[in-house]
This record gives sequence, structure tokens and C-alpha cells, in this order.
Amino acid sequence: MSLYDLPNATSGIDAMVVQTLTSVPSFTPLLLFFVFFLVFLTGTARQKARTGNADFPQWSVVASISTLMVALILSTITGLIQLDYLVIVVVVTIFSGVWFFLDQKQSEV
Amino acid sequence: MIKGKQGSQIQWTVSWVMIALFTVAIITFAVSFASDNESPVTISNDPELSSFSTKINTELGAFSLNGTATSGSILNSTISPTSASGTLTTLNPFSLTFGNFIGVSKNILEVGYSKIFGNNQGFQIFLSTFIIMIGIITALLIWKTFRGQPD
Repeated sequence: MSLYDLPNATSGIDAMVVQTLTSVPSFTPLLLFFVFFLVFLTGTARQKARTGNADFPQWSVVASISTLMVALILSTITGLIQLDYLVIVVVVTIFSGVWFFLDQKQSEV
Repeated sequence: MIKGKQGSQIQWTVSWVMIALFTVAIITFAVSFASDNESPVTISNDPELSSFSTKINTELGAFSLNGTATSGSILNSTISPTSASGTLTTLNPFSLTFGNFIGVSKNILEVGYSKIFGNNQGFQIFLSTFIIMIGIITALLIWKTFRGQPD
């Protein structure tokens, strides 16, 4: 008996990802977390190294819009993302915008 | 964004206009992306977010109409050089902006709370603990400042 069933690779890579997701449902939120924090942490770290000051609201907007792009692309194939996660990504993007626009700091954008 | 006096009315108004426009733009983009690509998952399937989008569109439309009427009344007003009767003594023509954006803020916070935290009772334990922690920290800070030993 195998530890896990190998995904069927004959019907395209999206079918493989959907099968992986069926086994591990937390794959999508973790992927979106990864994208968000990849952009957020690298952006703030580089800005801090460059200018000596990191603009967190600005990078949270950039990171959440990047996450939204990935989430929207995932939404074109059935089974890759659930509506709940997509809505949460949209709401987080709106909240980042609220934070950014109400921030008093002078940003680089 | 705008550097200057903390929380001036113009800054707040511009911020809330930008927030409302940004919200409408993000939701419209996501819905249009889904309809262009015939996505099986689209945020227009979510009733709460759809009604939120409608509400914020209505509020932005009302702001636009009221803003146009207000700016028209300011532009068309005349001030007599000989008497003080034509002079504006109050800021009434400029007072529409805050009132218009209370609804926007309320809607954004409501949809954010229910979508991120959900409507179940279990999460209130987390929120209560969080609020208690902030309360304790605030009390500590006040006490330490009172004793002259702030962190």
C-alpha cells in the first residue's frame, strides 16, 4: 500500500494541482500566504536597506494586490480556490488600501 | 500620503474618497476578470460582498452629487463689499464630507469583520482576549507614566 496516491499526470498540470488540493485542502491558502509574505517581507526589507525606512502600508497594498492577481488566476479553474478564500483576499486588499490611504507617512508612490 | 497637519479635514476627505474609489475599483476588477474569463469562482456569487459593492457605489454617487451641489453653491455665492450679510459665517457648505463617509467606513468595517472573522461565536473569545490584553497594556503604560518610569 502506498503512502499516498500519485496524481494522474496525463490530463495536464492543472488536474494534478486539483488532485493535490483534494488531498491537502490547505494548499491554496498557504500558497496565497506565501505570495503575500514573499512580496511584503522582501519589499519592506529592500526598502529599508535602500532608504533606511520601510513603508509597511504601501507594501501591504502591493502584496495584497499581487495575492489578488494570483487568486483571480486560480479562480479560472474549478476546484483550485474556494469562494471564501477569494472573498477574504479581496477584503484584505480593501483593508490594506484603508491602511495605506489613512497613513500619515509620505510614501514613495 | 499627504504630509502636513495631522488629520486635517481635507486630508481625511481625500483619504476616504480614495478608499471608496479603490474599493470600487478592486471589486469591479475582480468581477470583470471573472466574467471575462468565465471563472467558476467569482466574488459576485457572494451575496454579502455584492450588496457591499452596491452600497459603496450608491454612497460614492451620493457624495458626487452632494459635492457638485456644494461646490456650485460656493462658486455661485457672492459677498457684498458694503455689508457683512453675504459673508459665510459658518462652514455649512463644507460639512457634507464627513457625514457622507461615515456610511462608507461603517460598511467597510462590517464587511471586513464578517468576512475575515466570520459570524460564529467562537471567534469572540479571541477578540475579547485581544481587547483585554490591550487594556492591560494601556493600564500598565498609564501606571508607569504616572510613576515616572515609562518604557
